[in-house]
Amino acid sequence: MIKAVFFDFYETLCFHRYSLEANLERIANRYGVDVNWERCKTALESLFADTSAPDPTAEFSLLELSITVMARECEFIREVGIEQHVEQIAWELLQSGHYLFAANSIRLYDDAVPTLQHFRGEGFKLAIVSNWDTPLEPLTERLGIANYFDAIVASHDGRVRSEKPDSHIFNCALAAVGVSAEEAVHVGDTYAADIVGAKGVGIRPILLDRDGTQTGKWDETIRSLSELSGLLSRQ
Amino acid sequence: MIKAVFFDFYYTLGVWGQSLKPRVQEITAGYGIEIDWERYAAARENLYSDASGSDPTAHTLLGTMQEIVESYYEFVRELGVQEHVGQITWKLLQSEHSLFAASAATLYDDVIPTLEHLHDAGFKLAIVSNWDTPLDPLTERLGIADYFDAITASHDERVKSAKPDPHIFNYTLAKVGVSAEETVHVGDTYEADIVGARNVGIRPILIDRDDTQAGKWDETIQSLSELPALL
Repeated sequence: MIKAVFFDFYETLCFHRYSLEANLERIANRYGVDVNWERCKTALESLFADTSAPDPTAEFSLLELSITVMARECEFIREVGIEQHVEQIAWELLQSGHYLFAANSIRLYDDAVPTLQHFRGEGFKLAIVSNWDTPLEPLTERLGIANYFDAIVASHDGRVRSEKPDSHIFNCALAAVGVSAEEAVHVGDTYAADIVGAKGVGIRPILLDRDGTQTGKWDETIRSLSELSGLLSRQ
Repeated sequence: MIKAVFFDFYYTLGVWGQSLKPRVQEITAGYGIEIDWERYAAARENLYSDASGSDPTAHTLLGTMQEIVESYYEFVRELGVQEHVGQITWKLLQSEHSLFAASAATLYDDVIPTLEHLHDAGFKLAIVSNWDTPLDPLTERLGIADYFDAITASHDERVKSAKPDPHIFNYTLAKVGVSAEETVHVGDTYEADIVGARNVGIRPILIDRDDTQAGKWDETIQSLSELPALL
């Protein structure tokens, strides 16, 4: 019998409210500088490639993380052809959109809170299992959803240090919630991390394919979190 | 005739960190760590004295960020925390510091009604603040940016001047497009706001929310809601 529902975080429960391009355009206008939009796509690709996760087993340092994030953002600003006020524009961009500085620029999907409320009301244990390079509690607190969860497990948390599909992060969540793998389902949008990872420890995985771009990848697939209650009540 | 109203930011429009203690308690409890509360008052004082203004002409954002993070590390260590210091520090910053937690700010209840009123009445509005980063992203996230014709922060590299220095006021007058005689400035700090504004010929109004500055300045209000009547 299913007693617990685990959720991936980014693009399962939430997404960014504004695009980086929209933020950049607004800020550049404020400074009266031109953005070379032709170079933006490539610059964005290298920004996000660089941003991909550091090793979760390394010691956590906010200072290093902030400095690295800031340095990358400055490089991005230069790549789109901005030469003046680089540091300040990079900083404004981070303040407008980066989760580390701008939690309230993140938005929950409309189906997130009703789903969490439903499962909470039905007596299910709930957890977040996320590959995230800082602890997630402050962010979820500021989004107003922290209290729904019995455990909020982030890969780079000093108490976890393991990222999906690695089994340890799932086992941390199972232990924190107090259920066995057979009693849990895990919902996420990334096949390699969420589906493969959950299956590897014996948790039933459910793929969330909001845009309909992952058809045929996995049997148990949903398009919205609102389909979840139907899947779990039929058991 | 008054055409523009300038506002100080901190303690005039918004405030952070009203309750550091319960947050420290909650965060450290999450790690099963006991705090040495006898050291709290002294540690808190150090934290806030460290945070006081740096020189706006010699300043980098990265340096500011580094100083802030380091002063919070020190605060957490001073409370006797030895394990997970980095992570606990980070959570504290994320939950309360303006740099990381714009949404944790409280705008005073009289702010939005006053801004709405003055904006609708056709006044130009600006913020003139001693603040160690640009203020636009913060005010955007607080939902008040659109009320203002100019948002001027002392440590913005386009400004580099802190109240009571005249340059920060003159910079804002130029951006808004009004003269000093057409402007009032509202703030809670006598030296920065009253002396500063008066020196460039702007009419200063002292806001004394807690009624602790009686007699300091003639034109004093206790709430922003008293402002429209004065104009």
